[in-house]
Amino acid sequence: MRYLVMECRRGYAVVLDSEGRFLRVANMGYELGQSVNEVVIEQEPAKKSLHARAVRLLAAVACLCLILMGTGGLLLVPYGTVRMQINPDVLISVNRFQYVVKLEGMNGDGETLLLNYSFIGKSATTVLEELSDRSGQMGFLEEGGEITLTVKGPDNSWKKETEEMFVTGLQHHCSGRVHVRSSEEEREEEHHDTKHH
Amino acid sequence: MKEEHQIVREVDAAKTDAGSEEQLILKYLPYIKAVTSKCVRRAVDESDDEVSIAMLAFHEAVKGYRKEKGAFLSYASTVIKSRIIDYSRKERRHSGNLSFNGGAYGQEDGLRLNKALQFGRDDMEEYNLRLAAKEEICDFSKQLLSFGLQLDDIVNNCPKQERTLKACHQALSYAKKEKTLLEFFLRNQKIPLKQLAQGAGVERKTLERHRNYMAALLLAYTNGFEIIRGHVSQILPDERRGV
Repeated sequence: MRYLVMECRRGYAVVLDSEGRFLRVANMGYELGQSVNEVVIEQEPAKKSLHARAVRLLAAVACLCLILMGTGGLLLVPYGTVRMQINPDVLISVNRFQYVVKLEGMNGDGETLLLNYSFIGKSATTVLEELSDRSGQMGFLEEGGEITLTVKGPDNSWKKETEEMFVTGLQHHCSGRVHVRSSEEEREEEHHDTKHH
Repeated sequence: MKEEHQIVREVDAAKTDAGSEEQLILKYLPYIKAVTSKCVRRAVDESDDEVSIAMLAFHEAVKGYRKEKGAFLSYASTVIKSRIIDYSRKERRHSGNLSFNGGAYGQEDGLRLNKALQFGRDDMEEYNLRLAAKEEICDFSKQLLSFGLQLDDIVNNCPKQERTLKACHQALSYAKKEKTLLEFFLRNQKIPLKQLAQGAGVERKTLERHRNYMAALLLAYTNGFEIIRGHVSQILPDERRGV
């Protein structure tokens, strides 16, 4: 291949090759009009092709899906339940991280209490506090009233720990205006009363 | 930090203005030489091939630089080093092969060998030929300028793919046969894209995309640019067949 030097600059030279291409090459001390056989051609900056970009995007989406599916199993699957009984009876399903995944009204008042209430992204503690406040506002819970919490889970230690945590937390939130107790306490009290009679 | 901002401003200016780029290269020539010297592990001067490669790499760095790539000088240094490594690898591959036109002893030596073998060639004739070529190229560049084009624009617009290049050459071949099209081009300083595309049977879009390149080719085939035409004579199918 022959190259005709068409322009000389400090940084590079422009040559015309015998196949009609105009190229930028390294200026090895060329002169205008000189004909040379070998040149060092400028390298084009690597452009990311559309195909490569699409592949990368798809791979990223696939990874995201896998992560979501993996964590989705932990985030969306119920691990245990908390039943909150005032008069409204509400069943709260929680995941492994004690975030609410499902809310059900177990009686008519329970359904009324949950009307237009969103639990999405809320922890069980928050939902319990909000529902107790809501019960007060809707007239289901008065001062001196009682809330019973029943926790069910895959194992006894989790059940006990969670129940204790929720009862103490809600008691603290209601600051003594209402009495919060667990179903265990209720059973013990009932047993005590029967014995007394 | 302030200095870095100043360089970025200079690089931005050099991206679009050839004069600013020349100044930038001149300003950073000591830096370019230092990077080259470090890379080849010996002292270098401007006449060294490696410095020429480094200057081209610096130009590439200017064109390809974006702020996300970090400090300009370290980016330029990386580009320079990688181009010099490419060049030395290529040189190593060719070493040991004695070329008639250049190679083992470098291009200049190759040319000297070539010259030495051309006993009958008159040096004066060659000198005159180069002088004529120089004049013709200057005239060509001047005429391109009257179309609002510079050789840099032609390089940037030159087809990269073989198929596109051939399509452009087909259009040129058709224009060469239909002299009225070349006259129209000169008179109106416009490329008759529609007629060229229809006559040569190529996509109009292809010619439109490479408008500047087409302008340079058509110009070369008008006003007696014999040396340039002679150099690229093989690109036309008719001339390849010797018609």
